[in-house]
Amino acid sequence: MEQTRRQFLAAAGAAGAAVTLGACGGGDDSGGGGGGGGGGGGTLSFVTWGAPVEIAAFKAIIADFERQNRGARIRLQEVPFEGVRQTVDASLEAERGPDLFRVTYNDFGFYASQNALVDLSEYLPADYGDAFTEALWAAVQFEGKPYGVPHHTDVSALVYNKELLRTAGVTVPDKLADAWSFEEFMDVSRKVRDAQTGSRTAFAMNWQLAGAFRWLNWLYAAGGSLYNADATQVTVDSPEARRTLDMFKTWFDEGLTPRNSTPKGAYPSEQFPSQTVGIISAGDFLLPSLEDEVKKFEYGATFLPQDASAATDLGGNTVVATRVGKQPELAAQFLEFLASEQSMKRFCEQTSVLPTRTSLVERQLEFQVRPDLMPVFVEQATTLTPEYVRAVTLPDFTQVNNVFVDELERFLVNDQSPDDTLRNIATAADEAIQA
Amino acid sequence: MAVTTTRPRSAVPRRRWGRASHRQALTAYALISPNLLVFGAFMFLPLILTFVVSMQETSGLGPAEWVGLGNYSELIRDSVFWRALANTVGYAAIEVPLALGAGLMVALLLNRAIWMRNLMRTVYYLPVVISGVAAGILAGWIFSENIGVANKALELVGIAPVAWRSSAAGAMASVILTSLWINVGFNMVVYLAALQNIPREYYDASAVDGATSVQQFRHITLPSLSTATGFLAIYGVITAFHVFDLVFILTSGGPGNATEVLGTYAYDQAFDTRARGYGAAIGVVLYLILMLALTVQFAFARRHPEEA
Amino acid sequence: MAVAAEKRAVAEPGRTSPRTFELGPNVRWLLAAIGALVMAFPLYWMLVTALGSTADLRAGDYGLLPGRLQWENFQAIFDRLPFGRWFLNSVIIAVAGVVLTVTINLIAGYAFAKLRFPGRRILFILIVSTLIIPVQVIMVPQFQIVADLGWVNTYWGVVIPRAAEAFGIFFCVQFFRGIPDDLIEAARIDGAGELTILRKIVLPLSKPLIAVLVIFTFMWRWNEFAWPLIVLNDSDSYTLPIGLRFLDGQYSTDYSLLMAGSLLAVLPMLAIFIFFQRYFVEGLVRSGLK
Repeated sequence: MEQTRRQFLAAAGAAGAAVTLGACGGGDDSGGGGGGGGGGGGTLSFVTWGAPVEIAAFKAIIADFERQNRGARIRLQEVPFEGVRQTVDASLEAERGPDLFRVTYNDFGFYASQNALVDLSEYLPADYGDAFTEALWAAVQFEGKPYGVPHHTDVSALVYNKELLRTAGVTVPDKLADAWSFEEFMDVSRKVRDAQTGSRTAFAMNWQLAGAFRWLNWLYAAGGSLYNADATQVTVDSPEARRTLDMFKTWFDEGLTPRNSTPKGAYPSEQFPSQTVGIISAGDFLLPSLEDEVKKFEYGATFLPQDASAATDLGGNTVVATRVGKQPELAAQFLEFLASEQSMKRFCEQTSVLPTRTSLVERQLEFQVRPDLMPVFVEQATTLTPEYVRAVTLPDFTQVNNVFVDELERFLVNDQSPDDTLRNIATAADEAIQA
Repeated sequence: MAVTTTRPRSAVPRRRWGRASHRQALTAYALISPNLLVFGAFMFLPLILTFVVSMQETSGLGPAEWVGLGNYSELIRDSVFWRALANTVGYAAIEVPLALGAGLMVALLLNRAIWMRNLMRTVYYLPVVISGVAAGILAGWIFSENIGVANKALELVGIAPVAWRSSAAGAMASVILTSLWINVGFNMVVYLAALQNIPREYYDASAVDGATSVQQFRHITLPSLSTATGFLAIYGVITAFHVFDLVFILTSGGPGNATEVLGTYAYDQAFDTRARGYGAAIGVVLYLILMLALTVQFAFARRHPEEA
Repeated sequence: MAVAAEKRAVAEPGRTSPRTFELGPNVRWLLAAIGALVMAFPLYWMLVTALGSTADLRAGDYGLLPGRLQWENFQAIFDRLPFGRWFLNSVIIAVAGVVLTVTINLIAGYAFAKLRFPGRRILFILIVSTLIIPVQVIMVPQFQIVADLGWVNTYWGVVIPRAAEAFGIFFCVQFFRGIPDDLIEAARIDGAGELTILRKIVLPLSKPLIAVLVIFTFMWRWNEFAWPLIVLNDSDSYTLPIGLRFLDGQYSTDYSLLMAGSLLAVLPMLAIFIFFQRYFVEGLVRSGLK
């Protein structure tokens, strides 16, 4: 029924379009029907978001690939981060490409589970995964098969205003082992707040909507967890979780964080340059834009606060090939090229993100932006645990993350009780593993 | 469908009447058919299908699962839905009367030939032709809490800066203010035209009878404007319930659902949260509530024509 | 202000200043002018900050008057984004929409206004009832239909589903009702066919209507956001409103760039309005005063 309806409508639509100046169908390639056109190697469409440096880096890699594969063309399509999900979903549903797209590790599971992606094991050598760190190779697996290449990873650490912290009389740890404890961090925040003028505050957390799951950094550092080790049970409703929620509440109650620093609120990357706050938690990928925007003071980086242990978030993205694309072999070829040691090294160095190949992780990369600060992030990345990775790469994790956004927003803004917040989160987390 | 011609009902000569009306009807159907086709395929068909989709659960990519009224029962328990509903109705209840009142006030001010009237009329109307997106971006910049010109101006006159983004009231206020900016000109133009249609003699005659301007306003001006007011009120309510672009761009429904409206919530659920059926259900509710609001409005207008 | 106004003017019996509420003409002008300044300020601000420097704006370092005029901000828009492409898309969609919509609305409006046929009243009510339906109610199935037709990301997908504008038909019906029936009856008696009447008599009289329809339809298509947002997902196909949203997403704190882009996007509509004011006003007037 579905099929015949689609066929009929497709024919009707094609006839209608053909009868009347059908060529006016759309943009250059998009009107003709996805990536099947062109002579020679073929054209692939690649949907991605990115900071200007990332787009530039992608374009450079694409240029290299096109040079080495005569006749192949990759058409890069930039979309804003908020819109990438709708764009890709709509295109997939209409079966009009794209051939490739960039996706967060969190969202990857959804597409893989919906049978939208190409199983890369058909095109990659059998031992391909050995070159990557275990956690990151696991992040692109679904039911034991790879559906994307681990392109890069990011972690969050603290970025701080050097002058302000000096004025506040704060010493900043330079070793992971010496990272501030939760209590020390609260003290530091209070000192920074007191050293600020006017209504400015100390610290802003990088919720950033889809980054709401970074709450887990604090949860796991406190010794709690979202799920148990093999993700068969929800463990989020715990004293450790309440401790973290209490701490967040305290930030607000003591004026340590701006009122609009909530999951749906302002972005710390905007608040930091204007010195609205003195410390932010930030992903390494923000360094290029911070370099651009922070003109009036010097800033440094240090480790996230630790407690029972240390943790950070699995950021970063993978690039995948879709099954509606018409040239899976070329797409897989490009993915291999993108994740090759040379390309990855270049990409990471230009955009301040972290590599996923073990060979590169062990090596000192020559980061172009703030090479003095990157080592902090590299070291912070060692606190990433397999359990954390497991939790955030479940196929339905996006749904759980959406609930994080809503529930934490309600907890912080509408005074929802910690009990209700954790209960709702637990319910959503449970649904995700039932599927 | 076609009119038969053997037994005409009027006294007009049969032959002509029959053929002519037959021809008229055929021509008419031909003329309206493109319109009906588009409306049918892209308005009514989707409207019916939305009811169907609202009873399914689907992410758009995977298979659709039939859940009957499951989405609706979930809606009833969904606090965000109730918030969006309250926001939508509250927004309309505040914005529409304010826009009407402001439009009327400006029309009254500009009614007599005054210096630079046309220029001022243009200025008031300009925001109407700007897209909701552009208005949202502009408003976002003006109402930026830390560096926007609105708060700077407030600080200059000694008022505390308003939390236009991070407080529920502030955010809703920024949406309403921007809406007013966009809509006042429209109402003003319609009122102006209506005002200029009121015969001078009414006022002259009543003045001779000793009426004060307040009495003239109450008994001549306002009643003469009832048609315009009725039209603007209905149009205003429809537009207010349809609000999307502005909220989407300016606040994205935040902070914490404080400015979430049914339109943005439906879109968010359907295309971002990947719950198409749920989004469709919200759409259905939006439609029904708007119908209800308009029915109430019509009933009220019928009963109190002067106060419409 | 109100107190001063009351002191100023006194209502003299016999004087025809009917709607002034005891306000003298000068006070009225002042109030109107202040209001106009407030209304005009946002657009003025958009222009000023479009020519400013983002670094200053971010630091909150600005005044009401522009400093150094950075015309290069406009060039930056074209450099960083496919703005020219978006502009072209908007133009094509608006023009196509105008041609299509005005045509079908015109003929349908005439039929509803001047021809008699069974079901006329019901169909008209049905059509006007679509005014109530916001895009969000029908967007999910409408997208599926458009996807099945293969129209996602095409000009067709944007234009055709919105080609029938109930408001347009409404205008047309109002207008055509103003044409005397005798004119048409006479032509019929002379043996003219219905389509001939439409072409030779009604259309020539419809110039003002067509002008209004063209202006409004152009505006509706040019400013449309919600539906193109759903249908267009190739950044090369974006129309200006979608492109603006992209600009806002990518460069959300680059305020001067944002304003420059917004200004460029609204300039065409502003220009059209200023030149064709008469038709905008006329359109509203006709619809509001039944």
